[in-house]
Amino acid sequence: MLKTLAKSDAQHQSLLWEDKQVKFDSPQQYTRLRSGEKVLDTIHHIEDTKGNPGDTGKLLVTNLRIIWHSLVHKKFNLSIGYARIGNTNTRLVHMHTKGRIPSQALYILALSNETRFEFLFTDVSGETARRDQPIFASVFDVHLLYQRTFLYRDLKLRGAIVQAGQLIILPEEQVYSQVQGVWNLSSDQGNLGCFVVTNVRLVWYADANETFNISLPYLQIDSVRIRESKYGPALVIETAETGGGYVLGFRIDPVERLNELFKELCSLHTIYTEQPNFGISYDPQDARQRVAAAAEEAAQATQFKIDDYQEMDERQEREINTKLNNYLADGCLGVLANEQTTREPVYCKELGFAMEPIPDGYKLQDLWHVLPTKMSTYDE
Amino acid sequence: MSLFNVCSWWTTQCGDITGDYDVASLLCARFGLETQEKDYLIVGSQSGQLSIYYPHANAFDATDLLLETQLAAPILGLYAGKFSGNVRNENLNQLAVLQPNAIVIYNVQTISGLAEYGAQLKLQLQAEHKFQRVAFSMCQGHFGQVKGREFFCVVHLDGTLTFYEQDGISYECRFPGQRSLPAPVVYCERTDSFFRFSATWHLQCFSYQDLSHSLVTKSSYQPIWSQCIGEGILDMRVVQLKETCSYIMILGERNFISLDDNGKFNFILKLDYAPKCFHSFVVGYYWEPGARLITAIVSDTAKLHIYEEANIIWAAQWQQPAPVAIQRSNVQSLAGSIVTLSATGQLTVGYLGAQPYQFQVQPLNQEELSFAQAHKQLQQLEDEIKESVDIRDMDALNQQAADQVRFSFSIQPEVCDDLDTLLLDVPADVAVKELPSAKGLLKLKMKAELAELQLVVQTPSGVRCSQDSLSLVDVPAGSSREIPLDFYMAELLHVHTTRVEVFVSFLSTRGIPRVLQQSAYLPLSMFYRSCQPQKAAGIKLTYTITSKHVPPKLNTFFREFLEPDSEAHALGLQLLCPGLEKLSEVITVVAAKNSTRLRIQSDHVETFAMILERIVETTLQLDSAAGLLKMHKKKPKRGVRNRCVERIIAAPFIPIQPILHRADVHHETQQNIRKQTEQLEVLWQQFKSLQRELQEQSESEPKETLTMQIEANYDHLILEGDKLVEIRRDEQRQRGDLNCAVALAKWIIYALNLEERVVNVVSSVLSVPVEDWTELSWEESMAPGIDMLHHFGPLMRSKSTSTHGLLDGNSTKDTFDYGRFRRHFATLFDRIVRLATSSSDEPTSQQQPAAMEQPAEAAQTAQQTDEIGNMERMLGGDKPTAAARAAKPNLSSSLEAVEDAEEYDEEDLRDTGYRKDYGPAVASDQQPGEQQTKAKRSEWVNEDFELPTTEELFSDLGIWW
Repeated sequence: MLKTLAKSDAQHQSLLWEDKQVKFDSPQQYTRLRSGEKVLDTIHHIEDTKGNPGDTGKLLVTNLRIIWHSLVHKKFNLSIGYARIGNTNTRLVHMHTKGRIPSQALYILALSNETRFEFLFTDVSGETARRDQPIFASVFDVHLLYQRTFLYRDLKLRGAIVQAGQLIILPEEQVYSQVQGVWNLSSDQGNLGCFVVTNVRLVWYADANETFNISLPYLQIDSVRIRESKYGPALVIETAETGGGYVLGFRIDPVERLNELFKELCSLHTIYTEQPNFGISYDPQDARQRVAAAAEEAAQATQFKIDDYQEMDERQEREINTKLNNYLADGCLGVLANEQTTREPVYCKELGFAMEPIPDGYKLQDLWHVLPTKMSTYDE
Repeated sequence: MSLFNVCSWWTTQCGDITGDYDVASLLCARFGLETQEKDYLIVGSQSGQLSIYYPHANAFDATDLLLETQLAAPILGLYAGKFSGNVRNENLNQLAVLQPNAIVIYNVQTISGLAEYGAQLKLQLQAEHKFQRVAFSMCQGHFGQVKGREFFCVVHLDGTLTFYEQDGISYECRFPGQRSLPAPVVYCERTDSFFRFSATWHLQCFSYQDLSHSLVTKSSYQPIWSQCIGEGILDMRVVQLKETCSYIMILGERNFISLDDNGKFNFILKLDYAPKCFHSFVVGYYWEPGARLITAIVSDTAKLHIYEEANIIWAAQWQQPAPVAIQRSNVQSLAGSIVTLSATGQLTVGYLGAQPYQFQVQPLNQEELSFAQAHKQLQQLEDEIKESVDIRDMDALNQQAADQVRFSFSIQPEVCDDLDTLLLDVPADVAVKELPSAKGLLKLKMKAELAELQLVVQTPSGVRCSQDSLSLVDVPAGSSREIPLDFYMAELLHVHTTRVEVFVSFLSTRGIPRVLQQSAYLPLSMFYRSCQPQKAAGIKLTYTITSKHVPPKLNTFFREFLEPDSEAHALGLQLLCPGLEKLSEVITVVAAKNSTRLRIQSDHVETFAMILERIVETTLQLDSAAGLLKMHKKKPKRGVRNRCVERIIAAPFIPIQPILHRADVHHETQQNIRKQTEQLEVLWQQFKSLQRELQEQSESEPKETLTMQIEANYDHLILEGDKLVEIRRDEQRQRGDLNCAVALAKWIIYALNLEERVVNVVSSVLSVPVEDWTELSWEESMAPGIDMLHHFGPLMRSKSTSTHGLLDGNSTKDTFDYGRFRRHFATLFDRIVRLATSSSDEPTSQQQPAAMEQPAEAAQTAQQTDEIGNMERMLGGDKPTAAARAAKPNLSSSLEAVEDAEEYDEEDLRDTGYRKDYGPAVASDQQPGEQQTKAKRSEWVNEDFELPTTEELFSDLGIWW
C-alpha cells in the first residue's frame, strides 16, 4: 500500500522565492506575479536612482515583494523580497537635473546572502504637493504586515503557536478538521499529539509539550505520501527546500483514518499551493485615508532636520543595469570579491571576538593603524 | 585607527514583532544538557515571549529554534545558574525568568529526536517566588562563598533588596532614610560584597556579611566605601582580572568608568559618542598571568568600539540599527561571536570583518572617462552656470524674466472721493481734509513655476498704497493674480513725484533671481486743484517744446484740469496738500500763444516738482509714441548732446537759493535732532542712576528726596521726549520739502542743453527721495557725490585726472563741514547753468531772469551772497532784472570778480595745476556772448572723464563669470 503524490515539475518551479530574493532584470517580471500574489499598491513616477537614473518607472507593492520596473526600458526591473529587507526609511533628496527640487525618496537596505544592497527610489513626479505626502507608506505597512504573517508562508518548529492546549488561529484561517492521536515519528519513542488541518497550514503539536509543535503551510509542503515504515503505514510529508527539506513522519490509527486524512491533505495541498493565502490583507485606499489623517497630525509636529536631507547627483553616466555594483552598500564588497573572500571566521585572541581571517602577511596592528590612502592597495 | 565592519553570521527575527526588547532581554548561557554543548541564545521580550535558539550553522534554519513560549507576564530579565540545591548533575544550570511580580525558575529538559526537528526542549517549573513589590533587576552569585549553588538577590523598584538563599528562605533588606532609585546591583565574588548605585550617584559597597545580618543590626547599612560617579549609569558589571583584584566596569551616560573592588578608580574614559550597551570580559584566565580586560561598547550610531582597558583597539560598524543588547558567546562552530539583539527583536550572531568599512565604496561609474565627453559635460555645466549668472545681455534676461512673469500695472487717470479712511487707517488730520484718492490695478501671471515671488509697491512719501507688498512661495506655473490697489494721502507732506513704482522680484525653482519693474503716474488731480492763474511769481521757469509731435498746448499736459477742447493758455493750480490755511501754494502754467514755450511760475519751490515731471514725461512719452528715437537704448558717448533736448529744452536757470534754503532748514533740523537726542541720553543716564540709587537704598532710609528727584527727572524726560517727537515730525515735513526742491533741480537739469553724460552723472548724484539715517544725514551722504562732481567728475574744470582734491577733501575732514557742502552744492548748480547757457544755440531769447527776492535770505553770510553774485554774473550780467537788483542792493555793484571767483575753495588751490587752468577759465568767463565757445567748454568739462562700463564695475567688485 503505497500512495504517492508525485512532485511535478511545475510544482518544483513554484517554490516560493519571491519574498526571499533580490532579483535584477528578470524578464517580464512585473507581469508574472505568483498565484496568490497581489499588487496591493502602485506608486507611479518613481525612479530607481541607484541603477537606472533618469528612467521613470512604477513601484509595485505586492504582498511578497517590492517590484520596480522602468517604463522606458522594458527589460530593466528590480524585485526585492520582503524577507531580504534589512532597513527602510524615507529621505528627502535634491535632484540636480530637476531644478534642485527636494523630492521624497525611499531608501531600502537589502541583505542577500552576504551582500548588502542599497536601493533608492525617488519620486520624480515633480509635484510639490507629493513631497509632503507619505507616498511610500504602503511599502512600510505591507512590510510590517509581512513580518507579522510569517506563519502563513513558512515552516515553524517549536513555536509559540499553542496556548492552553488550543491552536492560536490566524486571521482568515479556518480549521477544517482536527485529528487526535497522531504519533510524530521524529523520535524513537514517538510523541503523541494531534493534527489541526486548516486552509493555510497543517499543524501538529504534542499533547505532553505544547512547545513541541510543527506549523507547516501547504506552500512549504513538497509532497505528501503514505509509506510503509517500521511503525506500520505512515503519513510522510516532505517539506520544500525553502522549508528545510525535512521528511516528517506521522502514524495515525486506524488506517482508514490515515487514508481519509491523506486524501484531505492532498486536495488541500493542491488547492492551496495553487491559490495560497499569504495572509496579508491590505487596502491601500483605507490605508491612505489613515495615512492622510496621520499626516495631518504629523505635519504639525514636523520640524526641519538637516539630517533628513541628502544631496543626490543623478547625472551619472548610464551603465548597463546588470552591474549590481550600483546597488552595493557602503562597506560591502563587490559580488565577485565577496565570493572569493568568504572565509569562515576564526577566533581572534587579540580582540577576544570571532573575526574574518586577516589577509596573509598582515597583522591586526597593520590593519588598525593603516591610513586610508594605503588601504586601497589591499583590495588586490 | 580605522573603521571595519561587523559581519553577520546568523540572524533571525524573534517571534514577537510587536514586543520591545532591552538590554536585559538577551542571555547567552549553557544549561549542561549535552557534553559538547555550546551556548544557547535566550531572548525574552517585554511582552512575555520567551525563545531559546541554538544556532547550528551560519544561516538560520527552522530547527535552530528550540523553544518558544508565551508567558503570562512581561520578562524583565533572564538568568542562568545553579539556583537549586538538589541537582545531581554539577554542570546543570537552571533558567530564571524575572517577571514584575515573581521570579520563576525552570529546569530545562531536552528530549532528543531522530532528526534535528525531532528534538524538543521542555521547561519544567522548579520554583516560583512571588514578590510583595515590583521587581527591577536581579543579581546572582555564590553569596557568602557558598559552594555548588548560587543565591540571588532581587532589586525592587523602590531600591529594596530581597535575598533568596536556600530554597524558600528569603529576607528583605530595606535601606533606611532616602528612597532609592532603581539601579543595577552587582555582586563581587572575590570580596563577597555588593555594589549598589545609589540615587545620589554614588557607588556604594556593602559586604554580604553586613547585609545578611542587617535585620539584627541596622547600623550595618553603612557602606564599606562609597565613591562618587557623578552621572547616571546605563549598566555595570564585575569582572575578575587577577587573583587579587576584581574590577567594576560601569557604563555611564558619558563616561566609561572602571573601579577596583576597593573603590579606587582604575580609569575613567570619556566617550565621544552616546553609548547604548556594553560587554566586558577577560581574555585568558584570571589565575594565569596575561589575562586581558576587553570591553565592547556599542554607540547609538551602530558602531562597535573594542577597548583593552581604556585603550581602543578596534572599531567596527553595523549596517543595521544599533543593537540594545550585546553579549559575547561561543555558539556552535563560532567561538567568540558577537550576539546582539535589536529593539525590534532582530537577533544576530556576528563577527568582526577584516575588511575596512570606509574604503570599499565601489565607484558608481566604472567606465573610463572619455576626454571629449568630459569636456562636453564641463561645457554644459559652464553654460548652465553662465546662464544663471551672466548679466551681459540684460535685455535678453529682462525679456526672459518678463516672459516668466507677465505683469501689468496701471493707475486710473480719474480720482475718486469714496475712500474708506477708517478701513485704511488714515490719520484723522489727513482724513478730515477729504483728499481725493486714486485707484490702480496690478495683474500678475506666472508662466513658469517659481520658488518665491515678492512684490513691492513703492510710493512717494506721504502717499500710501492699500497693499504695498505681497510675498508668494512655491508658485505653480500658470497661476495669476489681480490686485486692486488704492492710493491715498496718509500724511500732510509735500509730494515730490507722482510716480509709483512696482518691483516684482522672484526666484526661479533653480534659484536664479530676477527683478522686474514697472511704474505708473498718479493723477495730478490727487494733489492739485485748479484755481485762478497768478500774474507774477518769484520763480519762473521756461521750457521749450522742440518736438514736432507734441502740441505745445496746456491741454496736452493737464487733461485732468481742462476741458478736452479747451484753448486756455494759462492754468493756475493750487496744492491740496499739506493745504495750510494761511498759505495757498499756487503754481501757474502759461503756454505761449505764438511759440512753443511753456512758462511755469510760482512762489513756492514745492509746487514745481510734480508739474515739471508731468511736462517732461508727457513730452517724452508722446514723442517716443510717435516712434522717432529710442531714448535709453544707446550707451552715452562723449560729446553727445542730451537727447532730451531734441524734444524739450529747459531754460538754463535753477532757483539755487530756495533750494539751498530747504537744505539749510533740513540741516538745522538734523542738528536739532542730534542735540535733542544727546540731551535725552543725559536725562536717561540720570534716570538710570536714580533708579539704581533707589534700589540700593535700604528700607529704613527716608526716600522723599529721591522720589522727588525721580519724579522731576521723569517729567523732564517725557517733556524732552515729546520735543523730539515734534522735531522728528518737522524733519519729515522738511524732508518732503527738500525732496521737492531737489526734484525741481533734477527736472530742470534733465532738460538742459548739456552733454548727455553730464546730465546722467548729475542726475544720479541728485537722487530723490532724500534719505536720512541715524548715523548719517542726507547732507553727509550727499557730500562725497557733490565733491566728486566738484573735483573729479565731468564738471571738473581741470583736464588733469589727479585725484588730489578728492582724496584731500575726504581724508582731512573728520567732521562734516556743512558750509563747504553748501558751497559746493551752489557751485555745482552754477557750473551747470553756466555750461548750459554757454552751449545754448539761442541763449538770449530763452534765458529768464532769476528773481531772488526771498527777504530772509538777504541776511545770509557774505560768502553766500558772494556766490549769488557769482551766479548772477555767470548768467551773463545783463539778465538780472532791476527788481532783483533792488532786492539785493549789496550785490548790484559786485564786480569783485576775479579774486572772488578764485576764492571758491581754498583746498582746490593747493593743486597748482588747477590754479593754472583756472585762470584762463575765469578770464574767458568775463567775456560776453560768442567767445564762450568750444574752447571754453573743454575747460569746464573734464573731457577725459569716462563712466565705468559694467564690465569694469564687475571686475572691480570681483564678480566672475
